[in-house]
Amino acid sequence: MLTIIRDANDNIKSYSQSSPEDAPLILGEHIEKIETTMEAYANRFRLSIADFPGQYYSCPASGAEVIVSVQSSLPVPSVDLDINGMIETIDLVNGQAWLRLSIETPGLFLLQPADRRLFCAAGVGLLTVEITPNE
Amino acid sequence: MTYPNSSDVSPSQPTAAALFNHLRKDAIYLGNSAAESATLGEFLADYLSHLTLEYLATNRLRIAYDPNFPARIMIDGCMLKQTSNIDLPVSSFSGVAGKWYIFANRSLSSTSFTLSVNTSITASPGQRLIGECYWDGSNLLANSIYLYSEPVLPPADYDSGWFAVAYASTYNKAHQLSSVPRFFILLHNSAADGSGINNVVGNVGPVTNAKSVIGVNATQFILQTGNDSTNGTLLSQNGNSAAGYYRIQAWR
Repeated sequence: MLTIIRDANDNIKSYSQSSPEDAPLILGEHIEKIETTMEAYANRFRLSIADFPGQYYSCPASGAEVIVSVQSSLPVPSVDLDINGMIETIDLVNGQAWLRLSIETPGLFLLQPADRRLFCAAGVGLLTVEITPNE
Repeated sequence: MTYPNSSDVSPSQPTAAALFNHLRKDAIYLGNSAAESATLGEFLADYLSHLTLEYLATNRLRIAYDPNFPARIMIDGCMLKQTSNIDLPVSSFSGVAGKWYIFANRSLSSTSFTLSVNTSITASPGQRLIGECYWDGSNLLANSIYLYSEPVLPPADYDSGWFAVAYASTYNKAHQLSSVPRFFILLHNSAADGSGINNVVGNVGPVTNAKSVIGVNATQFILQTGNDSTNGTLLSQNGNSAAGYYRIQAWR
């Protein structure tokens, strides 16, 4: 059983293996209980590079192309991805799509689900990619 | 209960049955009745003290002798005491890689004991299972030597399990220990099932103003991840992260 914590806007803040009693709520948060595993719930929305989710990734501007894997185990044809505040609709094929990031200009890409009520922007649902200046 | 039941006998006093039975009751049950007490032998059947196992080159085991604290062990009801170093015979290991079990053995006409190893966990008469180790097919792995009676770190009194985190967020976890834990650890993992690298979380970003994430009082852990979209949940030589999963383990 997982405990899902939602904030006052019904956005999914976190999900946890611990019991609901372990999660004192703050500022309008509320909880749901769901019969699934951590891994199964994480796969509802998963961002990764080279199969490494949940970690900061950096790449020089002259480096190899950066391809982000976007996966969802839910039966949805597309997901809306928030990239630095810009929303981009990503069409999924068999629950997966690949997104090529521009590496020409140094800067930070912050990727997360746009629909926070459906998907969690924590765990493997948030990815930071930094394009660093050439040395 | 009166203990001892027996008392001194005068030089010319005949030994009555009651005297003998009191003495027997004292010796076997420490003065208690058979209905309310195991025998002293049963009580001490698993007795073992001051026994340490160490690696002895090459591919051997040793119970080192300390005259002030000799190893003592009960095997098959016999009280045995070490009188010198006890070494596993050479060439005791062979064959394919696997776990080997370590036995203490009593010998006829000896108050001490010996060591042996076997791939079977079953103790034969005159043997007592005391530990295990790992043979990799060529070498005994020194760090694999494990004595069952050694103190081990107990399971955590509180274990949060894994929970998803992101930067610039607050998470509270009620530990229900009713006191401030004496020790706790916060782990980060990139995989929801904890199958990735377990990193101990210290200070997190921003790098120019790195701070600790976690605090605790008598009721709950309070976590505040860093306001840093690159290192807000983990700042480590093994990798940085603004998300991932945390797990708290605490000991009362």
